[in-house]
Amino acid sequence: MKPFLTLLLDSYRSLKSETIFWVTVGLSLLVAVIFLSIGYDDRGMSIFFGAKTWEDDTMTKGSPGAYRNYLGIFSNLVAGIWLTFIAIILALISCASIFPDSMKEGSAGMLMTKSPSRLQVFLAKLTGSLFFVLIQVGLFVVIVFLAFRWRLGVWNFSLFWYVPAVILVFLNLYSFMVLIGVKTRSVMTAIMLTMLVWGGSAALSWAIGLVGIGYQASQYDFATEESTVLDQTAVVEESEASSGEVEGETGDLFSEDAEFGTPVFKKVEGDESLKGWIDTLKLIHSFFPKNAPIMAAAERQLVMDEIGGGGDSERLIMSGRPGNQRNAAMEELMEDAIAEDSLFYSIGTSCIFAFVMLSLAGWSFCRKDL
Amino acid sequence: MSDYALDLSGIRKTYRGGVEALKGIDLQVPQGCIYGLLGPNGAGKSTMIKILTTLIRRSGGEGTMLGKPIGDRETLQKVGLLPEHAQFPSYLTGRQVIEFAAGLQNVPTALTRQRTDELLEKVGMTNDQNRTIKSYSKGMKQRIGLAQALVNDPQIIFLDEPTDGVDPAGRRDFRAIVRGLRDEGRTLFINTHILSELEPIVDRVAIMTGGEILGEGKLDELRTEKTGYVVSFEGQLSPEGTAKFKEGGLEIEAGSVKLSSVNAVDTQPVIDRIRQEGLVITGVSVQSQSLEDLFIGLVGGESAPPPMPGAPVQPPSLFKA
Repeated sequence: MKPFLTLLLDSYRSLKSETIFWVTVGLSLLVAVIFLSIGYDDRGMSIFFGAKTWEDDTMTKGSPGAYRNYLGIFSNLVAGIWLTFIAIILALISCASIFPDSMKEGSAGMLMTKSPSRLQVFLAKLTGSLFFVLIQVGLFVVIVFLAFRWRLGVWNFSLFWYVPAVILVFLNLYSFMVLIGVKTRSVMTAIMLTMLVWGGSAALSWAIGLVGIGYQASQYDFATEESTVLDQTAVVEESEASSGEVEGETGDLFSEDAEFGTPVFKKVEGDESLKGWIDTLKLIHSFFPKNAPIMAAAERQLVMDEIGGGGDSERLIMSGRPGNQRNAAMEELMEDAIAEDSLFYSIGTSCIFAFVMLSLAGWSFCRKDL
Repeated sequence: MSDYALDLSGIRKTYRGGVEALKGIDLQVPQGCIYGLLGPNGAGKSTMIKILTTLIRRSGGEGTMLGKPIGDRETLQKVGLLPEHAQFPSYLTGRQVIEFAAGLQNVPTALTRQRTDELLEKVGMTNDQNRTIKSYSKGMKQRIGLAQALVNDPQIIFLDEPTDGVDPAGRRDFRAIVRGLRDEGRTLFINTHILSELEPIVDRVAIMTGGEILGEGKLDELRTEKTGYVVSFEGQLSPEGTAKFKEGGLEIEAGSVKLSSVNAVDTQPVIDRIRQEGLVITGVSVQSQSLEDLFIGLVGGESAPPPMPGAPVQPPSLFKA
């Protein structure tokens, strides 16, 4: 146990000695403090602890508008940009050199010739990297958690879902980075290829969505207008009744945002070649880590568990739409449509990806001549 | 338990691409001795140490270290290593490097503190122990490297080019430390291409080149062969005397004449001639084979082969001081 703890301590010291570590900590704290500085009073919203104010009757202290606004800033900017992209990129860069450096000729002589096995060294280094991310994200979320209490008066424990979500996303990408780092012993190559995989995964998601829209569109004959929407709920019920089950392509492309008087087109047999493309792209994508759904899942937990308490009305407040049964039903349909890419599927395939990458990296690390 | 600290049979290493670094090494290293492995750069010396300390995997052959198969993790707790081109974490202080090595070798915390203090004293780094490694000279890094190799109280210590970058005072200290370790009953296995460093301290040597061992044994036994006589004198030889000696194939240096004959009778005419010139004979000594002579004799002045894949480029000199 002592050798393992020694390696962990060394990982921490190693990270602490890097400038990028302090840059990451500094930026993380800065973002958290800026979020903390946003406040609401009787006149409206302020930022930088009152240095800049906006008068707005809909965002006064304790109002639903202020509530929505604060959550929206967190969801879209803090979690959506900072946690999902920037913090993870910084963490990847911070940890990129850990494995290649430990395999350098002189360093390996110090590390790999002692009593811990190479597998123990590998696991200790990996644990050290994850521990680094845990500290970074954990500290950040704690500050945000306190900000919610201070600004909104709620203990929003669901914020802590972002900790495992960010760690899992990081692990997905880092596992690939470790493999490349071990194979090539080049930090730059590892960073570049990891970014490429991340981008590739995002591009595949985008392509699947795009082809999916095309496929859905191909299922309608736009030349033939069958009827006009008079009541949205009726359309949904009709679709469910006709198909026997709720399916993604059941007219929701046109009915979700349909207003009174929107035309409904005749449904025809879709372009099966597009369906084939979707299946192929999904098959390829299944081998990639799926980060967006994991972060989205954390966001959903934030919405449903704490704010909504599972109730529809609160949930609709979060989604920024005025509560009514028609949109709630449509949202249900949308969720069912993406049911195939469920959280379990996304987490499961991502975990398999990480496991395979780390297994290959560990195998190579244990057997490589140094 | 085997009498040998190291007992190797047919150790081979072939790198990808077919480069044969070791071509079936058979070697027995007795316990409690200083063993020198000599050879030019690229001879396979470091590959040998890396195999013994599990940094690289052998392609074939068998062997034991301290009575256990090579690669046994428990045995590695009794092994110390100062690797060639050692790179210690630059963010650690000298003291922390030693403590880090102790932690990896599972040395109890209380013992670590005590040993670290002793070792810092032994390698003369007590005053600089709290400076970071990046502020150290190469010689200071080597001293810390030696200390970290000893922190687990090893029975066998591998030193790969240990005096590389060390100043003369440091080399003298190093030799004293190595002798002291041998006297404590430890086995030292030293890789070097600096023959002069090894000659005063080594008990046994193996001479290696091209992945093969060309000669092995006790140094005294290997170099018992007489190579000639040296007649020393005060004053300067006349040009005629110098010419006569050169005609006879003798080597003349300032104040001495060297004969390649091992027959004492052949020294008499030389002594007579020097006396005839009115010079004072100050000594007549027997010359025996030096380690360098031995090395050259076995290796045949062979230049270093191309370095192994991934091996650092080193200066070609065999005998740099």
